[in-house]
Amino acid sequence: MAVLIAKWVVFVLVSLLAIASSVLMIYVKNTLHSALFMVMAFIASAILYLLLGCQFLAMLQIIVYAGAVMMLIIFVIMMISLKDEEKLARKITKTKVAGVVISILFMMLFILIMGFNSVKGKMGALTSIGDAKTIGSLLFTRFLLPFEVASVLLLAAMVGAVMLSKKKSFGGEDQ
Amino acid sequence: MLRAYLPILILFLVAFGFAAFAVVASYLLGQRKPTRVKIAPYECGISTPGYGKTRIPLRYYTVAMLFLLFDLEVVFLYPWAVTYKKLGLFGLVEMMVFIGILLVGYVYVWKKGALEWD
Repeated sequence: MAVLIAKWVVFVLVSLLAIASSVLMIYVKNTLHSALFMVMAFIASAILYLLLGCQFLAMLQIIVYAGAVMMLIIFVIMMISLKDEEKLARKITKTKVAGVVISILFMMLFILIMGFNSVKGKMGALTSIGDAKTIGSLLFTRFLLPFEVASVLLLAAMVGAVMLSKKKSFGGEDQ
Repeated sequence: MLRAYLPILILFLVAFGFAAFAVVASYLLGQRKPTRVKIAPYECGISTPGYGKTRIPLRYYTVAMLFLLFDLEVVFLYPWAVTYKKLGLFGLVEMMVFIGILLVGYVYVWKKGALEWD
């Protein structure tokens, strides 16, 4: 019983942290600060995964999202250094209209989803595959093809990354 | 299972508490006589040249992107490593195919000169 209550308290606190950091990520003016709030949201969702029993996914959330993806986003922020654009963005009214339209669409989608499913997430057969061992044995049996296709996807991303940033900056032999 | 993470939570709280204590205590107890030099951003003791938000070369982004992709490759090694004994040769062959495809990408990136800095 005490464990359940403790779990519930942690869940409420962490979800509040996730919501608060996501909202702050959007509202903070400084882009680097919003990147830091995004890290916080990622870590909070990692803890939520942990509460569901997905230990491996929680660690991946921190390693891949809070680590590598965040680094990429920070590099993008540093690459397109926003100075005047930040002030400009406040004047644009089209974005506000778009925001209202998107939130109406989201509400409609939300109501639809609520109609079809119960909001209560149940710990089912697929949510309980949390640790690396179960994921490993599933990955090499049932999901073998998606696993191998993932490597092709990563290869394509690699080629894409090199092609996009190539131009004439790299002193390659063929250009 | 969650009980195992209790020490991490305690460590996190202690670290946060220590940092908060250090900041608050130095704010309350210390005296402030700010000068232009003192309030300047500190970076290795060298005087900072220019504005902080300068554009950085695209090359950093390429390196970051490639890091992310190979990071994802390594992530797939974890579940393989813990089930290695159970999977045996089959797992080894499948992993070699996976790594082989990515090795092609590695050779491509290397040959294109994306890993060279100059």
